[in-house]
Amino acid sequence: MIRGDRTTFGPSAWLQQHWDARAATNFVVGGAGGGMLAAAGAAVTMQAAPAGLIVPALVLMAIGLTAVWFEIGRKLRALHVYFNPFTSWMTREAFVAAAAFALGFAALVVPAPAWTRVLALVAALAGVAFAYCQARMLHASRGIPAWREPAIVPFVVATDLAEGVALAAMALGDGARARYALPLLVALLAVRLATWLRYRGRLAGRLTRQAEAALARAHGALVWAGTVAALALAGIALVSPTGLAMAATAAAALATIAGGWIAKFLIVTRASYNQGFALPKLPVRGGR
Amino acid sequence: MSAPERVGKPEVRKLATYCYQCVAGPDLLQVKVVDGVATEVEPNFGACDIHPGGGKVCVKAYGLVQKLYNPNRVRSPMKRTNPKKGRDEDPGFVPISWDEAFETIANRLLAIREKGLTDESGYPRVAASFGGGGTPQSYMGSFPAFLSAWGPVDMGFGSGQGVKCTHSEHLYGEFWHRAFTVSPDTPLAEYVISCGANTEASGGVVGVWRHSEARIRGMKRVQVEPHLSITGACSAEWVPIKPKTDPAFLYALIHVMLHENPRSRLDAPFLRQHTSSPYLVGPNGFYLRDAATRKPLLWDEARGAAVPYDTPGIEPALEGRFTADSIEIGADDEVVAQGRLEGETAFTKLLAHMKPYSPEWAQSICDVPAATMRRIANTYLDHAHIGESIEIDGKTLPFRPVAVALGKTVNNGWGGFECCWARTMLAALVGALEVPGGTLGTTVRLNKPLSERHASVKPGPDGFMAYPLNPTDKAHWSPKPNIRNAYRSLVPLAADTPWSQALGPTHFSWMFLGETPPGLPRVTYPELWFVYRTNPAISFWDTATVAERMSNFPFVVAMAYTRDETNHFADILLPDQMDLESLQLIRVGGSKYVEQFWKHEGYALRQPVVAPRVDAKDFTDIATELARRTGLLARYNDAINRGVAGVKLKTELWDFALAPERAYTRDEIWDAVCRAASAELTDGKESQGLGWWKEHGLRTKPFPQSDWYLFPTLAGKGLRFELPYQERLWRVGKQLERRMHEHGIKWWDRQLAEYQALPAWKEFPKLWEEEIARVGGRAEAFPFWLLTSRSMQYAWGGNVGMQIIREVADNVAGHGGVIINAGRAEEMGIAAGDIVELSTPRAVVRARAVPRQGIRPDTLLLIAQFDHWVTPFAKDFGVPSLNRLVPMSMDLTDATGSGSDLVRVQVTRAAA
Amino acid sequence: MTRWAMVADLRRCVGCQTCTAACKHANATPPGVQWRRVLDMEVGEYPNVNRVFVPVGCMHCADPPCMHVCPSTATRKRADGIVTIDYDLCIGCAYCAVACPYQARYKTDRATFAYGDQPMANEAAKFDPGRLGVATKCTFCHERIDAGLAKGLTPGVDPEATPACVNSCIAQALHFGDADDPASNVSQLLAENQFFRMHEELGTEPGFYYLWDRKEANP
Repeated sequence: MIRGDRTTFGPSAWLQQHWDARAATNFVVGGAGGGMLAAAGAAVTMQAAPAGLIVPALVLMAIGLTAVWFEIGRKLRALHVYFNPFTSWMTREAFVAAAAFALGFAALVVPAPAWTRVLALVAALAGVAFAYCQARMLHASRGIPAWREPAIVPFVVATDLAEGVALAAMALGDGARARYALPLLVALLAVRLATWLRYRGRLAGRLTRQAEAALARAHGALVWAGTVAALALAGIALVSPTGLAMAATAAAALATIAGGWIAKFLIVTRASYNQGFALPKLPVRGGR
Repeated sequence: MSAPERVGKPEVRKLATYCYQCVAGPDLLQVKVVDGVATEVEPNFGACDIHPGGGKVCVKAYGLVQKLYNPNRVRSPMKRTNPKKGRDEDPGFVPISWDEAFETIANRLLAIREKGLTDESGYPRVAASFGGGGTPQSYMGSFPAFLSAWGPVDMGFGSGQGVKCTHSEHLYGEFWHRAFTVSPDTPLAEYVISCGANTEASGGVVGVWRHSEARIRGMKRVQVEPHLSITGACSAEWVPIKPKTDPAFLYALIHVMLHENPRSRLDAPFLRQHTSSPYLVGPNGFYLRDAATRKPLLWDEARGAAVPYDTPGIEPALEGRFTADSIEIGADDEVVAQGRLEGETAFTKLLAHMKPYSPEWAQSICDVPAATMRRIANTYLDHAHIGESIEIDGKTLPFRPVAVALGKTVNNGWGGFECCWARTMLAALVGALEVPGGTLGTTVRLNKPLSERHASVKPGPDGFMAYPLNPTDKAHWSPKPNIRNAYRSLVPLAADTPWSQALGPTHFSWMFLGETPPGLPRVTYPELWFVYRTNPAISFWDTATVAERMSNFPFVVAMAYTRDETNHFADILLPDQMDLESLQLIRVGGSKYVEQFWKHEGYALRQPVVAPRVDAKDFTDIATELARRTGLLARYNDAINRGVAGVKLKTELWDFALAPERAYTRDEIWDAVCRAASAELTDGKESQGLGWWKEHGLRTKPFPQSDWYLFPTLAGKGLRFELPYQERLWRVGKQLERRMHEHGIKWWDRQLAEYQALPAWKEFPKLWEEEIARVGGRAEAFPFWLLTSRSMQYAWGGNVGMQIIREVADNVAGHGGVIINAGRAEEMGIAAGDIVELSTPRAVVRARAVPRQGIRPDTLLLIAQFDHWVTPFAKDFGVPSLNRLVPMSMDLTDATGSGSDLVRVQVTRAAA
Repeated sequence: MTRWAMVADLRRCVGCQTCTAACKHANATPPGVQWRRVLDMEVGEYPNVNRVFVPVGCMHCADPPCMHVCPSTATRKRADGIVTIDYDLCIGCAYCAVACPYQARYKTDRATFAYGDQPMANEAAKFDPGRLGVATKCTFCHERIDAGLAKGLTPGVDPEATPACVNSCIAQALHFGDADDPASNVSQLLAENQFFRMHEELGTEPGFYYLWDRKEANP
């Protein structure tokens, strides 16, 4: 069996050009928005945050989807995206996004606080679902080995949630409440690291050299900035006086977000080498 | 923009035509025309039972639609306004009327006729160059009739002839077995040794089709070449041989067959009866001859005596030394020995000659393991089916399904003779020459008639075929050549047919313009040069020098499709109607170049599929108008009547002759030709004209497969193949040497050494090292062999400006740069896409590196020939050509007047 | 049932790109878009290297990832196995393009022509603005198949009903026919020869088979 670019020369795998920074923005920013919606919705439900915290989450999601809209070839037909809920995770993402906007908006405008909390909770679930849809979108992209790996799903969901919690913590701007979120962030960072290591481990030796290099760069960002630094800063925040804790929390959140965003951006735009072509058998030309 | 609105259903027509863009054609196609616009090229499936490639055309034909609509076409006649010519001079072309163009050219031509057709040096004042191995003739309508009417024309300014063709094969192949081009009998072959023959890229549709069939059938082809070409890829085995060492490889195979195998593995009866093997060779190297009849002698084992070769009922001894009362005749008919002379058979001489050339000897030269060569030689014998026969067309013929094919760079320049001889010997040793399954010639160009190989087999001296060698005897040899490349004086094998001018040392025309060597009349610039479908400023060697010489041509008339690097130096550009706009009837089928041997023969029409797109004229109308304005109409029409346009218009069976003094239109001329073709195909019974041919496209009659094989014809006439011993050529060489020395010509001595009765191995690669030293470099500083290789997408096509061709060609590795061994590149720190400099002591080019595994570490490959600097679209490729680096060199010119398409270079990473 | 399938005989293919060019003619694809093309691959290292020419394009998978991911249902699979794109539905998100493991899909946002901005007559005649900004790919020339079938012709046998690439192939490397019909040309080839499908491990079940040897060679 002859496989992979180490023994097959010629038209080996190349970087996909179909989804560029615009599409990546949806995963990077939009995905974080989904995570933030989950965090914000939960916080609102638990009355740990004002309903307004939902707004920046929806804005981030909107930024992501708008970026994608700029990428599609037939912009006026964008609503055709809803035609295939049966098998397409993109359609499902679109439905979930619509639901999230509707729920988020409703939570903001509904007069009854109880309803606000209920709607916020459902919106939070929509945020998780949004992140999940995005993860599954990548997983369903069978042309890209770095995406189709099933372990990408928990990683993307984990990082979106971690980024979301970090964003929520920053957005709250309130040291006490933000510190309240820190244990959750720490837990999510741990989960994210675990899912990342699993994802990378499962891909080891199966990608092109360039795709591996992209993931190695992502690894650096995610592990050192996004995990080690973020955890250290979170630790500082947990044990520090309020002023320093606020700064440390914000820094931990930023590190979390930076690690996640860099990793997602690299996965979408730099590790996205296709499989190329491979010949399990060589033709027998005349003689054996 | 929006889709065109259509009312009703579009009108769709499919028109049959032919593609003869490469020497491996012609092939047949249909063009789909929708509402008057040509949109698609398709195979002509109506011809699938006639055309041996299923009625299909290769990728080049799919460029024809773009060729038609290309916005970069020259859109009307143009004249030069800048009298200064040079690469950096803007010619300042401005549009003119056809009338002005014709008037200008006719005035020049009339002035030339006034002065005389040849100049003070004896060279024709008019020259003409056409490209592509004779393919332009299938597009130039009746222009050959104009040239015929004109008189002497120098057609020896090469545009690639001699340097880009299988030159040695053309000359020696035609000499030995009427094989201007040589091919395996692919439909029947079992084992083919191919030294660099790139059939899958340059063998055309039929070559690709047949080899594909053969592979599935189980035919094994061993590809011996420094890089893994398309053909190597499609072969059973690749042997990466060191460049220019193929003679050693082939000699080792012969050695194994002669010295490591029992004689029973060879076809002894064939050697005895059908070759010169039993001829007795005397002490001076000439045949022992009967003193009375001067016929060569051989030893009759039945009588136990030496007898003339044509004595009936003899049993010639294949091997041995014998003594006979005889004479030896050397150069200039001198009797060099007489009396009781001891001779040995040519075969015995061959045995001794090949003894040193063992695989162990060859392996260090070729960088191919001895075991590999031994295995290949023995496998060849295994597949030779000695003693077997096959029935074809009711005739029982020998069946020897083994063949050897030679590629371009193996087959021209130094070493070409040795390779051709070895190849033909490999066939002869097993009786596989010109028999089913074996090595075949497929066309003749130096013997007449050109259309019929078998009819060209005429008895010559000593029991061999006649050959129209240029004279070397004192009475007839002349130091005053008829054209500038001096083929008649220098190359006896080039003969003297219409094709011979282009088969001489065509680079000499360019070289001698700079400095004519002593002994020849000073080489002059032609006063008027016609150029058609060729671009020597790109396609020849040392293109900088060629372009510089061109800039001094006083008056150049270029038939121009687009602007290009040669018509950059033109005075008048004439846009002729291109492939899909113009009209011509050509002969198809029978046996033609490369693998184009059919089971049918006849004619095919090229016809306009759409109205002309620009103010272009059909070449026939251009020729007629030139004839009219130069007062040559009668001779021009007469030439057409004689068949110069492809078919005789008047014979005993039909008469469609043109009246002498009338200027006919294109359609009138070709209607007459069509009628004559119809008549020829029906023995005069039918006479369908142009209308019928436009509708049907082609018409054929059967061509017997048994006519693919020349052996029965030779045997039937009692003639032998002139192998292995080259007594005739040796004598010719000696005579030529005397003549030249008598006239003080010493600069051809190196070439004269090629005339050998049995060719010996010489250190061929060293010649290119010496060339480096000659121009001031150190050989070891230029360690790479730079080769080139044909691209099926481009070769001969003149289609470098076609976007679709470039797009699809780029899918084939190497079209974007120089191929270098991946391991070697890594050692040198060169990555894919890096810019590297390829340099000789005299010139340097830049190319992107294309690292690949399928190439020797000491070899580089630049596919095709780009390096354009005028041709629209192509000038932006940024891909260089080997042609800029290869020198035109007397030292690298072999005795046939050709050189090899390779050069030693240095590779360095270019500064970013 | 009918299952249209392509068979490429790797022993025969010479990488000449005639099919590539013929496809471009028949389908009027713009510069750079090659629904059919032939790869020039090297396998191994010098001197033990093989060079193989591999025709590729849409594999018309039985389980096409492009169809599953398509949010607009523009990509569908016909009952006869041909995977189609409805240019009027497609939004040009290119999700299908990244889902396809065979790099078979193209998206061209702007009109492009062989020589600059202006189309030549042949390009203008076949220009289809509906193909801008949407995914395109090999259709197996289904218009020819459908029209041919309507005339009682057999795709893969009668040229008029056969994909242009197959018609053009000068090495007889490309074959087309009904893989569900045991008597068809392609079924015969698959019965007599050993074959593989590209990236078989992905489970897409391509309708594109590569022959590499006779069957009896490796029992």
